[in-house]
Amino acid sequence: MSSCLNVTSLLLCLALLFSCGKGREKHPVDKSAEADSLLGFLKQGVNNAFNKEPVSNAKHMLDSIEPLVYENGSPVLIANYIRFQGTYFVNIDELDSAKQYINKALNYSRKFDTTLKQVYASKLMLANVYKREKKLDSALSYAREAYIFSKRYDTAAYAITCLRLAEIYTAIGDIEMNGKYLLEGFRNASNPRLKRVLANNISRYYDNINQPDSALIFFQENVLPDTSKFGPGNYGDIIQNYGVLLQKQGNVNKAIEMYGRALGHYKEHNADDASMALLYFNIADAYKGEHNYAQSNNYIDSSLKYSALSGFTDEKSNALKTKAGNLFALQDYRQAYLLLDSSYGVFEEEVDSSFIIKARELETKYEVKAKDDEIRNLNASNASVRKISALQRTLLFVLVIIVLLLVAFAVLLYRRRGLKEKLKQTELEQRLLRSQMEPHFIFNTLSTLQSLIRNEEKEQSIKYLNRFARLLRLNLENSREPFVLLAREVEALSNYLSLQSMRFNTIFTYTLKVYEGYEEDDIYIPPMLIQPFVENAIQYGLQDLNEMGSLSVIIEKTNGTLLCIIEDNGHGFKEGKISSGKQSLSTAIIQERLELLSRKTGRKATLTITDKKDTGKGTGVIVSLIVPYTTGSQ
Amino acid sequence: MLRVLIIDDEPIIRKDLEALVSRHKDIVVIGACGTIKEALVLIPATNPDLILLDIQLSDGTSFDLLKLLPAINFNIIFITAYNEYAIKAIKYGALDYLLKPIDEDELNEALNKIRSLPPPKEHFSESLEVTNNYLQTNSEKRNKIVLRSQQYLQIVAFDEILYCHSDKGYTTFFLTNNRKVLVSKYIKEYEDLLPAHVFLRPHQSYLVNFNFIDRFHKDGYLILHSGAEIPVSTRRKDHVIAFLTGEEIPRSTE
Repeated sequence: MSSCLNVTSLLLCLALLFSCGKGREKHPVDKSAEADSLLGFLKQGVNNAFNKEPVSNAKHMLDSIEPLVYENGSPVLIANYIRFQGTYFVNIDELDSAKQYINKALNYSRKFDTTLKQVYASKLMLANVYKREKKLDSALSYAREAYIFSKRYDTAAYAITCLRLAEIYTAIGDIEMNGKYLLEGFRNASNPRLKRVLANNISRYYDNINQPDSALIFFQENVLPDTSKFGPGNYGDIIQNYGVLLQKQGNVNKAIEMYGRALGHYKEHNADDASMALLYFNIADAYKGEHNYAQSNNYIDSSLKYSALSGFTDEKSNALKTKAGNLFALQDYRQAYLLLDSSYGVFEEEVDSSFIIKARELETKYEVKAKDDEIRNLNASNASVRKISALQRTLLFVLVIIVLLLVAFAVLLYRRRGLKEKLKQTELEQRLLRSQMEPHFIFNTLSTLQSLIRNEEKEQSIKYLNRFARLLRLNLENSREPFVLLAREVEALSNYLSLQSMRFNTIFTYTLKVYEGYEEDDIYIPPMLIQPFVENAIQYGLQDLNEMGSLSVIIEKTNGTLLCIIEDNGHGFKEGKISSGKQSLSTAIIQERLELLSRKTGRKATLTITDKKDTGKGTGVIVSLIVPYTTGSQ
Repeated sequence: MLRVLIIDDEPIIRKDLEALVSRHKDIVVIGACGTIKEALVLIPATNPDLILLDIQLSDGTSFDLLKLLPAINFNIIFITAYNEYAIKAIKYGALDYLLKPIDEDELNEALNKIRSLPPPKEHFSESLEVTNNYLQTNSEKRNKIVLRSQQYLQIVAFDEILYCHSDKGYTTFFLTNNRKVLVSKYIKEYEDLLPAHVFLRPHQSYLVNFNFIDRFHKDGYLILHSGAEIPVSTRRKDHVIAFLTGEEIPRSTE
């Protein structure tokens, strides 16, 4: 039996109270003052609103200050504010919403609260919600965390944390631990209300373990010497509880005295109907113990009256039964029977409903247990899955690295092969290019031949045809080989020059000078290296000159290389040409071939093209080629 | 009197061409040169009716030359020894060309054509434009061809051509809006010129624009949206089906 009715919400508010008001030094004075006043509003205004119907008033108050809270930005304030929101949902028994808010507060605190106090305040609150949800494992683990923290660092929250733990142990059924934490909490409590709650709980604890003496001693030693410690207005409750303990001890007279004091205090402070009903019942019970049945009946009637007023019927059947017992004692049997009957009826009602409630509780308990088991299993399997996935991740990582290495290796191999392929490819392309005497040249030559014939220049035609035939043959033979005898290449060049000079006989003259004894030399060079430059000179350099064009080709042998110089007195490559795309293309091809040759022979092959204007020696172009040659033995 | 200008970079050929053209009593050679530089002076100065124009000149191509001229108010017979690309471009514009070495009969035929039916100047410019367009843009942007009938030059967008039908060296183009153009060329030439992924040859005598085909009749003919029926030869049936179902990637035009 206890007088604490609205314990839960009261305690929630206390929890909030304790977590308030820390860590505001960092803010400027006005902000900090604002945060303080907002916290005060939460503690006083909102907290009181929680204890009054309708609770929605509290919610309205909370919502109304939300912008102020976030504008202020104090982490402590915000954390508290979010938890107050959670408290509202605890009060209206919407535990899921409550948890949502508490978790929000928790996450928020984790981010911004360096003192960790707000974090553990949230955890403690979560513990309470879990307890209400009968998820005692979770409740206990959160509460213990909070306990360990508050014991060390947050003495203000220490007592409330102890109370929470004690409550959870009660729910678990571990009365011993319940007592331990209640006493620990009581010793460390400074808030009067909390101290009172703890004291009440402690006396109940002694009662539960059948040590009413200890309870009495506890009361006499710790509570009675200074009841003001437990807050003004609570004297009635305390003294009543003390009375109950005395009555249990058999000290009925003293008990009645205490009840009388309590009654006086209650009336003075306008105590609520349920408290009055309980107190009157206790008094009636005491008088019954004194065999003062008539007096007892009077108090029973008062109790019943207040019971009816408060709608709080817990004690009704007991009251009726007690009254019936009194009437028996007073030998008013008829009335007693009637009362017993109605007592029985009320009792049945109570038992019925309590049975249903108990059954439901049991059911939910088992459900909760099943759920807890499920969660535990899930956690276990999650843990193993995590382990496996960690292993898999490692494996995957290793695999990825291996694959990457392989890919890199493959790319390297491929590149090397690609280079080789490319070399081969270029060589093939070069051969193809060489093998095809330019069709344009062929048809133009034929066209010229036709004109000569039509013009009846018989000798010229025959000479022209011979040259062309010889060039064609040399070209067919040379182009098949990557290297040709220098003598053959010079012959082809000479034929080409001769043909072109006949074609453009009014335009240019030419000279071809090769070092002495080249016909006998066993020297090999790539075919068609020189001719393209000769072609360019004739096609682009020497056309449309004011004077007669002249072209000279000189081939000299140096140490392991041939030096070829092709010189003209034409426009130079900076002037007079609208289209030189083809020219640069053929130059690029030769450039590429020379690189290939350098790589093959290991000797540098170079190409330099100079415009004579740049050197100040007239006009025209000098092309100089250094071509490494190979000999027959190679 | 047809006043002719000869532009070729080879003196011997210039002389030869001059001799050949001079055999025609109604034609007079009013000049000859070998470079773009000279031509840019000579053309405005002589104002010729016809230019025999070698494509490859020593200082550029004939197309470079034409671009440099403010107006084209003469006919051209292109001459080239070997230039597949340029020839194709010329064909798109339905312009005249001769191959070297020059066959006198071909030259005479070309001259006759110009003598009898000189194409209107503005159409000729458009033909040149189509040719230049071919030379300068990539295949996607080429979407026009010039058809030269006996009476006129017709510039036709590829997507205006429903189908072509050939008959004895003549090809009839059936165009949208029920137009028809008769050209004195073989259908094969147009099969080569028109994009192969659009134009299908279901029959020896037909070339059909894929976009206008409505359906393929099992009895062996294509039905166009216009209702026209195009026979499909047995030999080409599989090819046609593959083309229509998109299974066969047709050869590229390039």
